[in-house]
Amino acid sequence: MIIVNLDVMMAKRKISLNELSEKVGITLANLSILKNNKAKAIRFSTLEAICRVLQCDVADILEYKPL
Amino acid sequence: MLKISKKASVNLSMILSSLFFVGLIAGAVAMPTFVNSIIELVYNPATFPAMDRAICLALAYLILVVCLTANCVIFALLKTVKSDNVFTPKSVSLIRAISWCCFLVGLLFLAVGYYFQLGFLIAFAAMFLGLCIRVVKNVIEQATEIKCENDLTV
Repeated sequence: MIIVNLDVMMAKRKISLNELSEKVGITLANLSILKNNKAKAIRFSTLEAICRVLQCDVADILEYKPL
Repeated sequence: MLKISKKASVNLSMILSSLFFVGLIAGAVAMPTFVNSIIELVYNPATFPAMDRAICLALAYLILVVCLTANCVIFALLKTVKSDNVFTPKSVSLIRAISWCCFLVGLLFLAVGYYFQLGFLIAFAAMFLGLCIRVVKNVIEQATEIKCENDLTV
């Protein structure tokens, strides 16, 4: 399964959910879905924006864990 | 062609459902007279056994109860449509319930067919309607899954 480590990266960058949602340009509700591992899919554009704002790689946010 | 707004259409359906409900209640009151007149139309009332008369009346009331249940479920479904929340698992189960009600009415009319042959025709129509509603349920079920996936795409 795919694990979203957004909270880890946010803690590393010391950025709040509100600030990230403003900078990325997606709603707080959608960002919460992503952060809480409830998302079923993520657009490349969203991923790109998150990586740009958090200055990280895709692998820092997404992780594959075999079941 | 007369075209009404989405909201007015839902309201109209709710009014029709309410009228149908009133009609069913009226039907419950008039049922013994109705069943008797149908029996008189087909059979000689003097030779028609009292037991069979009671069975016919029981079947008629059972059909009425199932129709009332289906009508209540339809009203609940219309409420979900009105609140713009139609593609949910709840709606799917409501549509499934309506479909089963149709199949049940079909089965009951099959039993009615033993006394009145027209019952077989109505049973076929009810079961076919049940099948159509079941297909709609399958479509809504798939649409619900797609909507859920779409909602959870960020």
